[in-house]
Amino acid sequence: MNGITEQDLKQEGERVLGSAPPDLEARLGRAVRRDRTIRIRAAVAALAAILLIGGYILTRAPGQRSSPESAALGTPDYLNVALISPPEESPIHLDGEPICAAIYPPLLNGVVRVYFDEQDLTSIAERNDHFIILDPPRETAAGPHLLRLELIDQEGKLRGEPTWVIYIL
Amino acid sequence: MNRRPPFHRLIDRHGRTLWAYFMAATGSKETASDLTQETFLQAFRGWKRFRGESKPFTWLYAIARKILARHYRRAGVERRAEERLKSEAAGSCPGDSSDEERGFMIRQAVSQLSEPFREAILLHYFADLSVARIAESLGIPEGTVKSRLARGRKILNRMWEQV
Repeated sequence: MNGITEQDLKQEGERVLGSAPPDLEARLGRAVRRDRTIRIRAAVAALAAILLIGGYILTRAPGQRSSPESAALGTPDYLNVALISPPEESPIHLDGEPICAAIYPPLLNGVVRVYFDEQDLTSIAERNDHFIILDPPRETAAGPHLLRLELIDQEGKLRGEPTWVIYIL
Repeated sequence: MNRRPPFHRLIDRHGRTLWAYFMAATGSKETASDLTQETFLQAFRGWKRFRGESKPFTWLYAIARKILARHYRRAGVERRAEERLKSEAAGSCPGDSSDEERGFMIRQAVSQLSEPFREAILLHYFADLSVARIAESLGIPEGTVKSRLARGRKILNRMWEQV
């Protein structure tokens, strides 16, 4: 058998490269998105637990203070809306972590409308009683954008309109 | 200034390169796919910390190297590959054609090289990286990469003669 020539190595390299699964990139992309979703859900679950325990302690404490968030929202009962992701003033990437806001206490049977640059994106936002998760549209330009939520309770009353500036890279 | 490209572009640009690197290093398509996925997952988790001070591939490759080293440690793959090489040399090789057989033996021979030579050969011939890019990724001069490639080929030929 002849020795290994540079040509042999090149050919074998090309053969190996050519044997990569045709949908490799799609599979990798899916794996990254799945991992991101799992991690966000885990963070959200952990935060929900913290909020629930915190809320329970607060409601049981005598002379409880009203939270700054609820004061900003101008709601009669305390209703916290906290932006979990991105962290304060951190920019985000379009294919990075999505925007995620937590609501406590849960807005049971209420409606949350999501506006991004005043465009209603409620239909593409993921929502439950505790959380809103939004992936900004792919075509969003880099720079500052306005995210506004409308929290409407089951009686149709606007309970809050928190607004944040989101920086996209 | 932040110079990070969108993450999905990293997958498009370097997914196959890393897959070929892992495939040549492990000899298994399944393992190559798993290790490539693990590399990108780790990269994605650390993406926020990537400041763009080095090129994205250099950063990805640093992760890939660690993952491959861990894979070798965990599975004792090197030892098994050696045993497989011996048994293949004595008997038959997988694959139907003589090209596949020869290719398999070439990959097995490459896996027997010591790390600096194996790395240079894998990156240059299997991951299709230029000498300049390997030098940048490994943080060594181009001349060193060239000499590792030349010496690696020489060692491979010596190993081939023995087989």
